[in-house]
Amino acid sequence: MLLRNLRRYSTTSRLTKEEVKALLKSTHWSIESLTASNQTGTDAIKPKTLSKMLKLSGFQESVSKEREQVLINSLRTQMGFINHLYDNQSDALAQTDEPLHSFRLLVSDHQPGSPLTLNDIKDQIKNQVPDSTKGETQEWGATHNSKSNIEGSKIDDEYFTVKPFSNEETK
Amino acid sequence: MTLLRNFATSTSVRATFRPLPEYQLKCGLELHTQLKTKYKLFSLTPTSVINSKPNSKVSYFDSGLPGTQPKLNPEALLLALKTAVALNCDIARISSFDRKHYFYPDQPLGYQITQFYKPIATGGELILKEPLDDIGLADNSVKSKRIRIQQIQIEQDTGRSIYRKDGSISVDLNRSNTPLIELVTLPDFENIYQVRSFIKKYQQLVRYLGICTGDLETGAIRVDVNVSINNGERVEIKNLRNTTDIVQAIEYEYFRQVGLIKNGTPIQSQETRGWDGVQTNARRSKENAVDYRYFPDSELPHIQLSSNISEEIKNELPKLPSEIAMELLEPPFKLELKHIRYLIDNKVLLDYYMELHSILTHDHKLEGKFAGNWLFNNLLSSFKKARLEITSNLNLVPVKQLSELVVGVVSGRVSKGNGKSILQSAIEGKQPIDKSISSLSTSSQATASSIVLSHSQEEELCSHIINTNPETVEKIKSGKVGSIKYLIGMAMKQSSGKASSKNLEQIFKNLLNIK
Repeated sequence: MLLRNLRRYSTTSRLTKEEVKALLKSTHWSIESLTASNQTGTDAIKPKTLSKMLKLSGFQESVSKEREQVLINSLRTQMGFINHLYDNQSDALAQTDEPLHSFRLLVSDHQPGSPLTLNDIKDQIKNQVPDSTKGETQEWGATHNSKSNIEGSKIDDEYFTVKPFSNEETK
Repeated sequence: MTLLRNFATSTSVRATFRPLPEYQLKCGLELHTQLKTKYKLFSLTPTSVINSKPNSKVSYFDSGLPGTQPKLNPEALLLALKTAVALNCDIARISSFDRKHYFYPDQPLGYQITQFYKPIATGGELILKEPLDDIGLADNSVKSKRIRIQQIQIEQDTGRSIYRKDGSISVDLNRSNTPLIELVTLPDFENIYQVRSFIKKYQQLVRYLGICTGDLETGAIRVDVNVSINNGERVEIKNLRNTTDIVQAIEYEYFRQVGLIKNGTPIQSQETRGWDGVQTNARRSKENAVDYRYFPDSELPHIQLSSNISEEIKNELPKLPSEIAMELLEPPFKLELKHIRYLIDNKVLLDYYMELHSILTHDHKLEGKFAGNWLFNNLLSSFKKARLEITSNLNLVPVKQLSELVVGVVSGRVSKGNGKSILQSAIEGKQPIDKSISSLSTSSQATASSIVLSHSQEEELCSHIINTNPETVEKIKSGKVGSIKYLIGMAMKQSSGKASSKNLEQIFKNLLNIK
């Protein structure tokens, strides 16, 4: 509802300061109400789902029972919040299992720009200049701040090193 | 099972392998091609070359530092478009980038930027044609094979992981964010000959157009294959480093699947297998397939292209290697297949040959065969003898000067032997070819006569050779006419190449009364 109001207001320039203040003063929702635990419709998050989520996120899959329950509760809360976002928004934010082909944050993608010709592409190629503020001119050393070396090797400071997971290190 | 065992121990490529008629092979390919751009795909970091110091070609974006954003390198776009046009693909007016998520140390962003939903090009084809390409079909009346292309997408390469003995992984991000195109074919291949021909032809095309170095060994092109039998379940094979790997893996996988079908064992659905040099090994099945959670990359704008971009690029592309090869097979060139393949793989030499051919045939009205003969028989062997790489040293023998030398030899002003010596001296840096030629053209008749024997000198020489080789002469008179070549060889040797072998042959025939 709030989203709709905001959208309506944002398209007009006639909004007065007082109206904005009044809008912000009135309470439409609270975070607590949207993140209340055990939201309906969130039962789908089972230990198997959590295990898959951990794997996909690159985290360790084996967690204690207590930790597992904490994470499931957290995911349920998040799902509850997301479900709220879709409440009464079916016209604007259609909930769908289809991939988000057209979900774009970039404004330019929604405006018909002038399509690129071959000459445009050639001009762009000609005008490319590496930017030192982006590290493109190689004055920085990607691994210069590295402290971790493998014993006995002469070339380790040239590489990023990923060490195998050790239980000792987590204690 | 015996089939399998036999195959597992085989290490050489068996060119005779053909699928069994009752078990029809179907193959598709996925080719990853590194684009030869100056900068990386989404940053202006110079692309890495072989022997670059590890992690020396890495910008903040390439190493996945937070706060950095991608920006498309238009040169990568142009090379992808050139490939698509050369393969007759339909270019998408609007295409976009997506994120493919998986965690790996050599992928610092945690996802690969690729084109999943809207690739840059779809459709297209590469046509294999006999005799240039081996399509390996028993039916000789079929002379071509069309391999359809499903799509081409632009994407990033990953970094490189080196696995150490202590279990750690050293990561080099030089390759990270290098531009790639992924080309996916439909499963149109019926045998390994077609697979091999396709890969060769594709390598040739991308090299010729300057899109990629085209090498499988350095990983500039990487190939995955999928194999199925009788339209059954498809198995994908990854980690194939060269053509031998590809051919052997397909053969192995074919016989593995035939064995399973014979035993009534179902082929696993959507299985991914690896190749270890001897056999294919199970890696992933449908059950534990990776969920890549593709979604559109919100930091990269769509690529919007003008409607006539294909036409614009087509107009600028040079004649493609397959067209040139077909022309070289026919008159006035009529080159051998091996020579055509050599020239197509060496564009500098191809241009050199075409210019030499044009000068000899148009300016001097000579037969075109002299261009091929001199290039393949004399020029290449002289460079080989001097142990010099030919393409980067062709300035030692400018094409105009070689053509003058050829004209001199064909007209008889310079003997063949002397012509070869002049060429060798030029290549070895002893005497520039233009000096040798100008001394020939300005020298007196006396000097010229010292280079080529006169007719009477040649007759005198032949008489001497006949007198000193009575046994050979007897052989020739008794009917072994071919032995005359021995006499010609002796005379050429004694004249130090100053005689004309053609003249000598005629003189010997006259003196020995042979028709």
